[in-house]
Amino acid sequence: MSDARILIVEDSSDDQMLILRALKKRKLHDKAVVARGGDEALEYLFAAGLHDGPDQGSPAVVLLDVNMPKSNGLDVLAKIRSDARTRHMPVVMFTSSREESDVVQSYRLGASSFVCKPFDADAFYDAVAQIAQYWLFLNEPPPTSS
Amino acid sequence: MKILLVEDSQSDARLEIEFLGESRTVDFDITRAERLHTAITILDRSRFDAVLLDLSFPHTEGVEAVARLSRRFPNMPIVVLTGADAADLAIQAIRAGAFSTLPKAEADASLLARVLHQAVERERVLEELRRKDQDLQAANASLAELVEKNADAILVLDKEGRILFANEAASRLFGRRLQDLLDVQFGLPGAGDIVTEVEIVRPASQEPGYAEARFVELIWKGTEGYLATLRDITERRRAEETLKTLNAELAEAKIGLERAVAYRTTELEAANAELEAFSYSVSHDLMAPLRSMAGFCQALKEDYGNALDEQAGDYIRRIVAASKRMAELIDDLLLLSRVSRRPLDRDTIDLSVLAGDVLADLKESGSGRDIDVAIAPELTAIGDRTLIRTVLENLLGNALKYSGERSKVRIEVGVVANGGSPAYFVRDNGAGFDMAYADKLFKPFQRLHLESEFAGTGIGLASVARIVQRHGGSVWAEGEPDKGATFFFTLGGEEGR
Ligand SMILES: Nc1ncnc2c1ncn2[C@@H]1O[C@H](COP(=O)(O)OP(=O)(O)OP(=O)(O)O)[C@@H](O)[C@H]1O
Ligand SMILES: [Mg+2]
Repeated sequence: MSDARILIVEDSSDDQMLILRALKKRKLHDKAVVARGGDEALEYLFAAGLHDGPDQGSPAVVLLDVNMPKSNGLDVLAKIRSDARTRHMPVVMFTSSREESDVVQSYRLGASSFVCKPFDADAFYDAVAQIAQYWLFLNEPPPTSS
Repeated sequence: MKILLVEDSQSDARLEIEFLGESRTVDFDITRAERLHTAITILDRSRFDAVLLDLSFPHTEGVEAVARLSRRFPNMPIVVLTGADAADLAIQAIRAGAFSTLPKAEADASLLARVLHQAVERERVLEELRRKDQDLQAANASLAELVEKNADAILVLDKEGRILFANEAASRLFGRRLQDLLDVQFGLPGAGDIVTEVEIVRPASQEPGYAEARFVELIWKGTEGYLATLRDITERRRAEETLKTLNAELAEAKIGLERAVAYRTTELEAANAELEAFSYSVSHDLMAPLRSMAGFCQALKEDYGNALDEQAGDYIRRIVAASKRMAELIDDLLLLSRVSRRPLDRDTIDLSVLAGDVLADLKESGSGRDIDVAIAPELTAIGDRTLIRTVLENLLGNALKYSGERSKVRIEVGVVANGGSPAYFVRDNGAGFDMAYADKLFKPFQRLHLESEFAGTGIGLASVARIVQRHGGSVWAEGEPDKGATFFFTLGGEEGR
């Protein structure tokens, strides 16, 4: 499972840095792939030109921000769930939003988990680290042939 | 039976009194007058049942006496005693008004008594007839009056619809004299006990109008016909029509109003949705940079901690603390907007149980202070459970927080009568507040205590006020510095709007 990756979908460069910093503290930063928005994430996941098949770059988990320009987190989630190749891919919503409607929508669209970005820096690092640990090492991924 | 005997002969008088005294059937009470003029004086003064008048001596004024008496006392029966063979006088006396004549020679006791008795009896019957006739006339007059004064026009029609009788009101209704109405062919627009409407020309204005007519069968002077009653209903019809148009206009206005309300509601909903979107983006857009600030301050400390002196470390701590506080403010603002937007889901709530739950949660998270709690049992209210819980969380949270310095804390939850709707209250014996600032309490971010005394952002009571308002109720507070505070709230009328 050493080649398992975590796809970070985040439009804010600050948050990208903070998330990467959190992973770095646990020496997990080399597992990270960053998409700087929803469209880039979709390209990474589905565009045939960038990689050969879904299995090669297929991440162990997608850490998905909700509020992003153009394709937002919910749009990305909907596309992931509607494509046979990614239907079972773990997707963790990671957002500042505490809006009930976002939570409800996310789960309705099939999110695996919903985590609010903690305000406190230590709590933030902790949250990112725990998510990465869990989905990279503890969780048994869905079979690629699904 | 009182009899006045007019008799000039003393001896005859005695004899006649004697005769009458013998009667078994009638008790005669006899007064005697010698002459006619005394008789008249006596009759003027008192009432007698009959007069027995002796005309047996040829008398010049014999018949004249009868005439004078009967003129003066028209209802007085007069019996005349005549001499023998006085058939002429007898007839004259009857014509002059006597009831009967009797030859004096033949008048024995029983005959005299019988004739007098008959005379009196006849007069009694006549009197009764006269009275009945009077009654009848009076009754007739009243009936005629009723018909005449009736405000409704009354017509009697024969079978062909010709007018046989009309009253004053009919004359007014048709604008014709009574005699001009008689024999006019009116027709029979309706019959049976149904109400019909007939068109009329109103006499005053010569404009068409309407009368309501009712026809009932009747027997008029022995023949079958109809009784028609008519009433001018033009004004009423006009009023009804005005009312109808008014109602129609009202209905139209109502529809217009409803449309306006619906329109305003959609507008309002749109504005609300916009507000929602706004607060949503505020949450994200303000929070994210704040978190970055805090996060990078932390990074600065971690990565360059050694290079920074104590002063720099303090600055960084302050930046972190300030951004944390701002985050709290934003969170609270969002909470308030969520409270305002959430649709109400009304339910019957046991406030006593809910208050107990909330207090238990609060005490668990707080210090293990000694708190004396008194919650009135069976407080029920109608409202949104989640929002009312928020109300109690804030009020009880404040009660605990602002009594933190007391050694013996007492918190009370109860209800007081307050006009139509009950006012629930939460009372504490804590720091209290100055009533001069009571109206500030419920405004967002308004605080009566320093952050250093008691932590908080000042949004709790604003949320409480918003929730209570949305329930159609109100909230107010009483307090005294260092004595404690009581917060009251109602949830609208008892009908639980
Ligand atoms: N039980 C109380 N006794 C005395 N003062 C009170 C009490 N409850 C509220 N207050 C006063 O009213 C102010 C507003 O209260 P509110 O609950 O809105 O804000 P807060 O408690 O300061 O902050 P938070 O938003 O965290 O609740 C408080 O700052 C306090 O001064
Ligand atoms: Mg408070």
